[in-house]
Amino acid sequence: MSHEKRIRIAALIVLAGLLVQLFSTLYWTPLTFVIFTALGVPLVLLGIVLYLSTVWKILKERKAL
Amino acid sequence: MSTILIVIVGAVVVMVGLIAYAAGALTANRLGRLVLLGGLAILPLVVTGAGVAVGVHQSSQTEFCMSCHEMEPYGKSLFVDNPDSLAAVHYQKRLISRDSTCYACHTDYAMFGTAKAKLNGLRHVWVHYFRTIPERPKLYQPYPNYNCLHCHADARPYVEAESHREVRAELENGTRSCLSCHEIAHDLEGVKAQNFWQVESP
Repeated sequence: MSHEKRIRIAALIVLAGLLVQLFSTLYWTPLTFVIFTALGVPLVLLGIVLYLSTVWKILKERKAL
Repeated sequence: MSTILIVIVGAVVVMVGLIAYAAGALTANRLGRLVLLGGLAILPLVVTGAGVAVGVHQSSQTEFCMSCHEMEPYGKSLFVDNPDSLAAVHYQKRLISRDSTCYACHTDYAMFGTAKAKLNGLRHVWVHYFRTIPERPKLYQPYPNYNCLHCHADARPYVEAESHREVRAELENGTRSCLSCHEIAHDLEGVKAQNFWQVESP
């Protein structure tokens, strides 16, 4: 998979997580709070990890590390 | 606070959407790579952290607890006219904040108390949706004295009460529960009887 595609996927995962967070924030209830923490937060973190790992790979390939 | 967060998260959502669309072009130059770093790592992380902080705050509010119908009698017990009911006395005498009435007594003032309270809340949600709701919910563990003493330990009514003097050491080391004398936490009988306190008009 190309780096660009990985970054795009990372962005889409972050986007999905933020959308979940946004809809949970519109109305705080016990259920939306659970959805926020159990789905929204992990999705954003997953996207960030994927993005950073891609950056790491690019830097290694360019022997910048 | 929530409104500001909604606006900020909304703005970041739009920005991340644009980044996802233009990811290919952004990787080509230095400025684009900085936009990627800010838009895909730093900003989402900051927004998520702020969201968690707001969520923790909101989930400590009285109305949040009362949004589950199981809590209705416990909410009503705050208004019962009974000077021996702990919840009613604390609420009516304004000993605790009315915005976070439940949380004031049902959090743990020990280390990681907030996290523990939230995990207990998660168990409540699990039981609410996937288990049989008990007729009378019980605490997961005996109520710890240190929660009471967090506020009362150096309070004059507690220190000077004759009945406390003999047992103070036991209360402080937890061998005797505060609830062994102050038995009524929530007066649910009073709720059933609709024995409520109301402010008299002047």
